[in-house]
Amino acid sequence: MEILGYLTLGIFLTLMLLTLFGYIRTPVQTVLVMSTILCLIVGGIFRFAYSGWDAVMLLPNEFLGGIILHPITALLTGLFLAGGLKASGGFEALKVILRYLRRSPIGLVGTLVILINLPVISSLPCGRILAAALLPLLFTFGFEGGLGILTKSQLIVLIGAFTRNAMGSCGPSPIGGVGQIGEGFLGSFFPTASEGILRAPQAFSLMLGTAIVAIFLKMISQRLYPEDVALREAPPSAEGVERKEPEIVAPLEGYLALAIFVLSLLTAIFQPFGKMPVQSVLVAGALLMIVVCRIRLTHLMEGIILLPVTAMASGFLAAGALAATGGFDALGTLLNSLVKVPFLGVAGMLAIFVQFQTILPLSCARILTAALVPVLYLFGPAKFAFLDWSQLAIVMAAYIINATTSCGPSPLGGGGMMGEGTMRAETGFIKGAYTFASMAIMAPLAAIYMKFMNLKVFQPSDPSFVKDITTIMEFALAVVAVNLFLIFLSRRVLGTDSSRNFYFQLIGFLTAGALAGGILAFALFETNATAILQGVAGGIVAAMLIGLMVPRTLSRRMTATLSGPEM
Amino acid sequence: MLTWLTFIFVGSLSGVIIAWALDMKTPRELVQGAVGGFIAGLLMAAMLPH
Repeated sequence: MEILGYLTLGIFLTLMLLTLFGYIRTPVQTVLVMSTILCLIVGGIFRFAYSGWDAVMLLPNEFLGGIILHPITALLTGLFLAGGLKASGGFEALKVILRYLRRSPIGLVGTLVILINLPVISSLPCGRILAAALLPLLFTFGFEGGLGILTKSQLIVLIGAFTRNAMGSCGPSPIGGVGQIGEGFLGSFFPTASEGILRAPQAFSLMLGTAIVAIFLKMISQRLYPEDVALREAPPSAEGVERKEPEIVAPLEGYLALAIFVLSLLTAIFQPFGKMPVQSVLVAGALLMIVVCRIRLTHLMEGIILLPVTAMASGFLAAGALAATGGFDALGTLLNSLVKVPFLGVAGMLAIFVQFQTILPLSCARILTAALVPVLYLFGPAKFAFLDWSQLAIVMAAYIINATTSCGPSPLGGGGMMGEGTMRAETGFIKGAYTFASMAIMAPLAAIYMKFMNLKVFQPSDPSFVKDITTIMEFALAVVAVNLFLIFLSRRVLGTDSSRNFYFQLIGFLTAGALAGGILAFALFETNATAILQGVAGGIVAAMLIGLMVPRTLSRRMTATLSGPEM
Repeated sequence: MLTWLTFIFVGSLSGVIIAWALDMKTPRELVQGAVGGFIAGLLMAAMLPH
């Protein structure tokens, strides 16, 4: 029966890779359902042959038992509430508030910094909600949008950084966020994990990762692909001409809806009225919106974006089919064999594993997260015992932020394409910046934050856990400094030869990946030199897989994609 | 308290970097970026479990 696991795992990975490389041109959810059906058919045949009809009859139960409803219902209610916010003019109210902020002492730049970080602060269950509402506003800051406050380069940085932040904000969301999948598993040991043990590490690393994306877009992406953004600069004749800002008016219902939304979010997070499911709080908020803001149930229903919901459901289905047919056991065995490779070991294998979703970016992080977090869980005391519970939490923090940001660079309808569309860029323009930040900044810093802060917050009775803010700051500064140095160095050596540029960029990725792997190994095994070297090796392997996927040129690649793959 | 401090720090640091990336490089603009990041960090910390 062991062969069955390898077979179904092979089916799943083959279909995912064929989709990612454009050989299968159907939505990834459809492919996942196909994978589920194929795995179940193959599983059914094997079971019938080896154990008879009774074993086949048990297969549906085992397959459906893997579906976790909590994140799906939390996501639905979160989107439901966001629909009310949109229908009642809540986003217009937000735009008015931002306009006042721009005229305050923090000025334009301070407002833009807040605006870029607004997605992670509001932590909606899908980054696409806020991106859809605010990207048109960001576009107006440029010449073509009407205001002409920002240049083309500034607008690329603004839109790219905002979209990066948005397409990672679904991770720390307390209302159906991607991180809740991991928190559910960590709840086996940390009793209060479901209150958000993974939220702060994700938010911390995402804020810094967003800043690195901004620098990368300015220094590297615009240098590598100078002709691939169709935004226009203001013509010389337009300079100095004062443009009238379009008046934004928000209805009173919009402000009320915004207030109800914020209160619902705070109630869901802090539970001031006693413990209750987050879904109940959000539905109560939505009902209050219907009464106070006079919106209809259909308006709330319109807020539900099907992509993340179906992505999560199809991910769980595929995961359930893999679990029932031994696919995860096979994956576990394969990764177990990686552990036996001398230069990798446990640290090296984990350094590759935490980057898995950036290596294989799909349209919604939930698809693979639902499938792979159970595998990660098995590395802990539950099965393979590579890690104790605290180490599992550290790896989970690194894995989840890397996973949750993976929808940004996905060419399969990933959220980053919304940003590329707004800045009129070719598909793939943001990929280098997004994957670099996820790999080099976010994963290692989330691990460090979990180790030196959050373990103590969620398990205060354990004396071995510490809160060490100085170490967190030192690591943050060191990681940022090294990566800024790499970006500045790359900028100096980049020229007009795209192949040469690609290899220079790859060297930068490998160096940053080595550092990320080493830091992850340190967070897990502290000063164990062998583990750190193995982490460095694993980080290099992961970085190579990520760096090789960054496009050399965009226009040619797009043309190749549009004209069809060469089979 | 430490969560607040950590997020204020990371917010301010990212604010300065973003301001620089946006070609806002005068001392006043960099400070405004840091203050914007400070506010963002403060708001983020307020939303987290402590």
